[in-house]
Amino acid sequence: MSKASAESKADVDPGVLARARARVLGGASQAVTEPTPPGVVAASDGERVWLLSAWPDGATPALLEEYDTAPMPLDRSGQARRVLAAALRCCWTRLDDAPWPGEAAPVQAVLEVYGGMSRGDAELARRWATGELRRLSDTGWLLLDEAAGVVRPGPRVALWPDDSLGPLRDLLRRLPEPPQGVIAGE
Amino acid sequence: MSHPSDPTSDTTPTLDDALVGEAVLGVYRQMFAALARDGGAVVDDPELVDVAETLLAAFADAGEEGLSREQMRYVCRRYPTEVFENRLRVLRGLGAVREVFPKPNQLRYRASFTSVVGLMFVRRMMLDGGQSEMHRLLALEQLNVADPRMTPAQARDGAAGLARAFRLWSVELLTLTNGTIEELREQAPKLWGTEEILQRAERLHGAILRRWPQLDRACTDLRTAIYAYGDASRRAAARLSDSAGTTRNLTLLPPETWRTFARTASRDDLAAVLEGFVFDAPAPWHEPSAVVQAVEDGPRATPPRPAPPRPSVPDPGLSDDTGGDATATERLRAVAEQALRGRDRIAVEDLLTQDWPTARRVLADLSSAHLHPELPYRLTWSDGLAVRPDGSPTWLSPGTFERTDVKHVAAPRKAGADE
Amino acid sequence: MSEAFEPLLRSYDERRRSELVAAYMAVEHAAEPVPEARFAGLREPASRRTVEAMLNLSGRTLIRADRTSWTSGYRDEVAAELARDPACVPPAGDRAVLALVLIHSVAIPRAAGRLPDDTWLSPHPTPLEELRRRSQLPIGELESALRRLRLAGLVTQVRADGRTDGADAGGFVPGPQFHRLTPAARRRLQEELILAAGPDSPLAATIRARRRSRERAEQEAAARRETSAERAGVEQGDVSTQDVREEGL
Repeated sequence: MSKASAESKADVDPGVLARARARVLGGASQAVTEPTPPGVVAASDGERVWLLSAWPDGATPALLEEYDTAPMPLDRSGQARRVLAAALRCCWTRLDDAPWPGEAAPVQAVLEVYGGMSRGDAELARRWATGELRRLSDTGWLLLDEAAGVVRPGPRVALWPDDSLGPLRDLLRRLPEPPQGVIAGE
Repeated sequence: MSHPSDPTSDTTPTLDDALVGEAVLGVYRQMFAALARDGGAVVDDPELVDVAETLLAAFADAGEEGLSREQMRYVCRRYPTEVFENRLRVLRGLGAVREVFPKPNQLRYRASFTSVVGLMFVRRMMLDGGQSEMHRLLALEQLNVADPRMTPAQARDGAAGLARAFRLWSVELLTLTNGTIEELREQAPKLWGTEEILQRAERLHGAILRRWPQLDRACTDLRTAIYAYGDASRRAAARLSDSAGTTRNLTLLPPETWRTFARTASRDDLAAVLEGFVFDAPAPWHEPSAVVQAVEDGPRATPPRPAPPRPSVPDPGLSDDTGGDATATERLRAVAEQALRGRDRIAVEDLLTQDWPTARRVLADLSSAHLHPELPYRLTWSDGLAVRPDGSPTWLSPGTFERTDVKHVAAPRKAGADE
Repeated sequence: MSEAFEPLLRSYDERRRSELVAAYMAVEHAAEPVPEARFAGLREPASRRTVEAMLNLSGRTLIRADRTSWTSGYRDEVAAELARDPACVPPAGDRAVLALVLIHSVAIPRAAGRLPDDTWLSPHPTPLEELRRRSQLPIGELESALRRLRLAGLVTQVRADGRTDGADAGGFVPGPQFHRLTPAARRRLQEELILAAGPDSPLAATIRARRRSRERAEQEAAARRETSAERAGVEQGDVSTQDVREEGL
């Protein structure tokens, strides 16, 4: 019997509620030891596990584009994606592996790489990039620890189907290398 | 204070009656002079009332000196002469403006206090259909009831007058409630009673009854009228609630009420409006190909690098600059032509030789091309079902993708399809 | 990772299956409601029912936007349950700003007869100045609240386009998320605004009275359900089919 049709006004099926919760929170985490509800993508880094909405048949929201349908608008999406690329250049070091969970990298290194990708006022670029890092962190694409000055891939990259990663891997290989010897929190 | 109607008088009016009647009519005339078009009818253009208002305001500023004719003309200079002359004639005729002679050979004009009050009353009635008048009246009656000079007869008249007003309000509301919803929506806010008005009326009723228990009949009447009015208000509100739609009932509070709330409410009062509503977390999607595209399209400090391998299907990226309709159409045309490779039709099965995500993408494009009103392609499916144990889609119904303008298969379009 | 959908999709051939998946992803992720003409999975009532069942798995439901467009949102009872958890609702500061935008962009234009459509979306921007200078909101909270609301699609910034005619010269309007409210949630939003701004109006009195009687009816229904469920466990299926019909399938 389907869970959804059994719910009444009074009590909602716990599985349904857990999946709704995953969507409304957009990637909340819990300890790895807690039970994971069925039907969500559970991206674990060994300590914590992030719960994300699961999609049928390997589809991603990129499918909208095939139907000429606009996704939720995003301000300065190009800049956000360039900062994401710069961060991945630093955090996704073993490119043959999956991007998740990746490794932590100093924020300074990411800003350096981003600076190398852009032109114009370097200080301004860093400031924009810092804002983007926060937004990417708010939306689960990165995990930013501002106090420690480090950043690592966010659980949302675990939703990327492996067969869509080829061109991104190629790109990251060609991006400027992160500076060596940058210390976290500098 | 003399009362115009004397119950002891017989039916033939006396000279005194006539004089009293004339005095009453004089007040009526002054009261509504501002609204009069001529001696016998109400204005047919609201601007005429503005002339009167301008004049009365000038009289208030002028003080006891009054105004000369030239001064009156000056304050009304933005109105045409004939309009001004007409208004002055009517206002004088009805006693709202009087001629005075402070010195021999000096003609001045003064305004009647009653006319100003009348106009104020009319403006308030226009604003809320009498709601605030009712508030004032109730407050005034409450003061009267506490006044030691008030007689039982006066109290009874007051109660009867209020009962009459409430009853007329109820009748009007009920008529509207049974009429069209549009009219009800428009009129109800002017007619229905707020809880405050009802409470005030009940308090007044209680005060009268406590002071003059002998007036219980009049008080019962008043109470019945108050209840009827409350009931009519609730019925009107219920009918409007039933047809509330999504935002229709927002029109039932005046803009000023909304503005006042927005400007004076505390943060928590405002936040309470959206208590219990849940919204999706922001979850923008960054497809890997879109990340690649963004870096390639971005400004660079370093010289351009060799072009990277592109995904098999042209990919405009997920960014908000997803080209216009024209580019989308051309992309679909290119995909369709690539699928047909110069042929007029092809079995869908033959197109789906790749992995399922790619196949799905191609299928989606072909359906879009099929649905596109400007593109000459058709995608048709038969009902059968073929099993392909080794294929990537393991179930497949036979379908055909074909062009619908077979006659003019244009060469240039084919050229565009070759990558 | 998508086994949850398998029982619903298993019986379809690949073409139908891909149509259903596309329709599901479109209603879940498009900014605006999607036209059923473009998505085969939304065109027929039967396939819509499957899309609805897919959405139900995570507590969501199809929402009809106009006659032929669809989007998705949380089912009312799921939203109510989620809202009990403070982590799932926007912080008070964000909600306050959003309420102001709804008043200035929808309620006031509606009351003044400048907004003919019966919707929570509006072409009349709330000027930033109005929020900044003429509300009781702490100024420090305002900017960050607006940033979060924009990111979540709850408000949309409208730029002034260099026009200087004052009235509608840029500001904020309710964002695309307002497409995703169920009919019941839309009605409730209207009621909450009326209760807040005109608590003394007869309309507010009616709203309060109706809520009280609905709560009573629900309590009684719950009590009845419990007793009848004890007698026979069949009735619940009927209740939920009715729910689905109410939502316009």
